[in-house]
Amino acid sequence: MSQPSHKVQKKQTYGYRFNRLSENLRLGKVSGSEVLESRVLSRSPSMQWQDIRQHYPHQWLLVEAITAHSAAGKRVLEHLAVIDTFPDSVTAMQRYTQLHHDAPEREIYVFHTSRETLDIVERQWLGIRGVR
Amino acid sequence: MNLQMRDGLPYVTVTLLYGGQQLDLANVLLDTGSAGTLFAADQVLTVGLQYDADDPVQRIRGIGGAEFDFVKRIGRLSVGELQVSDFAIEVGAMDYGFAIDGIIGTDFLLQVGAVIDLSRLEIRRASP
Repeated sequence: MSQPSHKVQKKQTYGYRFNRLSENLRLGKVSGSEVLESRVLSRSPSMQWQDIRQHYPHQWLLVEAITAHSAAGKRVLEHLAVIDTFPDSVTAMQRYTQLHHDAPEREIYVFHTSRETLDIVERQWLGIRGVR
Repeated sequence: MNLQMRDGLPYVTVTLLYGGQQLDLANVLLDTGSAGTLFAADQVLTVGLQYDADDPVQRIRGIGGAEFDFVKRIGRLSVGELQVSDFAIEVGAMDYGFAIDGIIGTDFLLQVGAVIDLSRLEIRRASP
């Protein structure tokens, strides 16, 4: 059988701590918010979308915007950190909901890496103010 | 259709048609303060509506923070006698801390020319 290529080796090194965290998450050893916390403590590398697409091909990802700005009605994500990978969008969205609930101040998205560019329309909304 | 008032806010029952399947949702807020129409991801999943790799995405920014959602075209959206075919909806987490299935925004209300009658607590088509 062929030896692991240089490209695969690089991906494994780069994605190691994420894979370990997501494994612990699956095993129920850590909660979603702890994963976010760990990610920050471990100073995970932030990447641009094209790099992420190469490192995580054909996958659903939960990603966090590390640096981003708004311009001309669009949200431009400059650097991202991959929080976790998923086999389908349904579980990815469920995890998004959980993390958004636990850490609403973080800018989190779900994307599939087949998406060539991140074209994100930004819209203002005042929100709901009910009588409680 | 009658408006149901809860916590001082007007709710309606809506019907979505997606992929030949019909879904009735009873906790949908009528909100002229929202430009778009939004539904909760876990609700629309019951008719097989899920996030596909190439769906358009949005970031909704407001007083309560920001959230991510994706855009999907559905076969039909109805509020009583008011309906639009081939309508674009947003789908997101909608984790607002209370029971809500969706928001009917100004995009739908404008297209159908809705009359929101708060003296009778109903929503209807404009009289011819």
